[in-house]
Amino acid sequence: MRTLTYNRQKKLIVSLVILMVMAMLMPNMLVAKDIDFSGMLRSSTGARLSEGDVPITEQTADIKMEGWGEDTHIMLNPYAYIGADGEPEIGMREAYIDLYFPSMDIRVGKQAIVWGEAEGAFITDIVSPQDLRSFILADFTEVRMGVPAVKADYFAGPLTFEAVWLPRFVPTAQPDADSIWSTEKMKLMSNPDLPSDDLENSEFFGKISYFGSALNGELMAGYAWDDMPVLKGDIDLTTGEPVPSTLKATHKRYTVVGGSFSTTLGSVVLRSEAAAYLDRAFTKTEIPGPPTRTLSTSEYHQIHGLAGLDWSLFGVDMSSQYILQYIHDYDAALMSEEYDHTLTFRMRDSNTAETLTWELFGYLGFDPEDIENSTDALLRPSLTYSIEDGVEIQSGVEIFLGDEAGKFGQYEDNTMAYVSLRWYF
Amino acid sequence: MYKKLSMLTLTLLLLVGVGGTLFGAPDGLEVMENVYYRPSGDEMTADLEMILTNSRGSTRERSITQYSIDTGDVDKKLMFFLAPADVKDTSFMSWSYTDARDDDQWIYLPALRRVKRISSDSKNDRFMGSDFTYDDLGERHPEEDRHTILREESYQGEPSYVIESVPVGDDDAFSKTVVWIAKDKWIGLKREYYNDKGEAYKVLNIDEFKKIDGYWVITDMLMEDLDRDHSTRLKMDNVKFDTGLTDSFFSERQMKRGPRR
Repeated sequence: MRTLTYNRQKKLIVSLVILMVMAMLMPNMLVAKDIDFSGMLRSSTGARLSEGDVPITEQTADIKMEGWGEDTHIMLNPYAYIGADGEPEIGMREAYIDLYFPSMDIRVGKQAIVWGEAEGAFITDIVSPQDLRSFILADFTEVRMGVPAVKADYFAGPLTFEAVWLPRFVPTAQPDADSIWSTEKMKLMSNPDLPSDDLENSEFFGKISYFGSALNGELMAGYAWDDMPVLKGDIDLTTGEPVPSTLKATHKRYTVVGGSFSTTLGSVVLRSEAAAYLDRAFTKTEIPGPPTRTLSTSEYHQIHGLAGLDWSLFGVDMSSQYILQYIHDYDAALMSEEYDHTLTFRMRDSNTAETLTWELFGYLGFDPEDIENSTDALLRPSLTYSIEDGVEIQSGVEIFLGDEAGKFGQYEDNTMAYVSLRWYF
Repeated sequence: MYKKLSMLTLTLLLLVGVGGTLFGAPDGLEVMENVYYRPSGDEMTADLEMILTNSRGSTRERSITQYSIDTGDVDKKLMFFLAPADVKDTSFMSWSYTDARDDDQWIYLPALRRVKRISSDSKNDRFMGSDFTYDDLGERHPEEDRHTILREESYQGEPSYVIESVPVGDDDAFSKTVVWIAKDKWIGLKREYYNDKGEAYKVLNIDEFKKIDGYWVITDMLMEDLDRDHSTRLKMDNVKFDTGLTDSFFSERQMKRGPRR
């Protein structure tokens, strides 16, 4: 088993490896007949309204270098980031090579893979892990992490057969222990044991998709490691603290089958997505007797589904989704809820010149049997102004409210206003 | 007896206007059908450049590579946005059907890394903040309007029909259009858009057209929004016909992969 460490030495090694990969790929790019260089620079500042502090001062550079040959394509996507702690982070979001054949595409290298129809939710979209170090507030391009993978797509008319092999498990990135997004549960799960880099610990995914006039649809299956670790060990009931010598966070295997589709009903787009997570491990609390509480793991089947609509009303783009998670054969000792209900909604409109855009995106968590006490929400109103082509300034508020035990309400103190300047080139 | 009947028939034909066709003077619908069905190749590739100019004279530019194919029952169009940088790598695909079906439309957003089906209920929306609507950039079927020839005159040195077209449905942004059609080339040279008050609020001028690979192609046009003093020039370059595009090119795979290199 290996353990996650984020010390300087490891960062240096990673940076050197990235530079070596770039050096190896550059000759290919130089002989490619067509080379493109683009990217984005961003500066963001965010202040918490209740605390009065400024936890977000970020500078990000995201560079894309692409080269095309006759039947090949190379992509390098390095990035540099400086956060509030002032310590620079340099990494490679993606670095891959595409090989194009008449009926097949093969992509080899570090890549982000996106499946499904959900917006702001991850149901069948479980191939690439997520970067949740800023909760779910990061830009779309940065929420999904690239992973070393081999992906093959075979095309047969409207059908596409896709196979993905991930030789090495990379877990979802969680907030650091001192982050404003870290919770007590996350702290318990920090530094989980990871599966060793053996071939038998590879992840496998397959998908069949149909692209047609009446319908787009996907059927998928995967044999994967769960991105969320489970806990085993003891907690001292008198202090509420884990007993260090006993506590262990580990990732477990599970099987996923699912699918999604989208179609139009008149002027409305209907989307749906569902997955069954078979024999997924969950953490269970048992109290054999004071002074300790025992944490153990048990396996259950879980259903995760979504139904959504996209439409336009008076020129405003609208979208709404209902998302349900359900644990079958539920045991009250589980640390997770049997049902988890979430509604999302999005409204977006621009002025006629598309220089000024307003948007409201929101998540609403609720329990239908106790709406008054259980409801919590994340509301994300924003205003974006395009100063000139490729340069925009965005300002908005991230509002957390409602049930303090809820997945959004727990961050009530993190309600913040932000401003972000982006320059695309 | 036979001669009398023939004379009667000819008189009736002239009265109902069909005789006009026989003698080379079409009615409004026929003129617009000649424009709609003008040979334009089964498949085409072109680079588009849009220059948006606001009332203060400042400009913004958009670059697009467009592919289209006519398979008989379906017109398929695939657009790749090349500039500005914040929309680069975005692609848009539409399938338009000759029957009454609504268009199918998809958009690929590189930030989401996903091809998304979108509603086609947007024909009056502006395309990329320009003065062109999605409807302006599509091929409006002649049956969607009632056409009347107002007069014939010379426009930009071209003998032209001036046609008034009134929408049959009630879901258009304009109450009528007036269009100048070059008689022998069946190309629109100018179009005025009128609001419910009967005032022209938008004017499209064709500044250049040429014959490429045997087909008449509009290569430079200017759409002016008179209400907000804003204009969009649309230039077409690298126009190529019959380059070997096949139906399979208009796919999710190609939307993600980008334009031909």
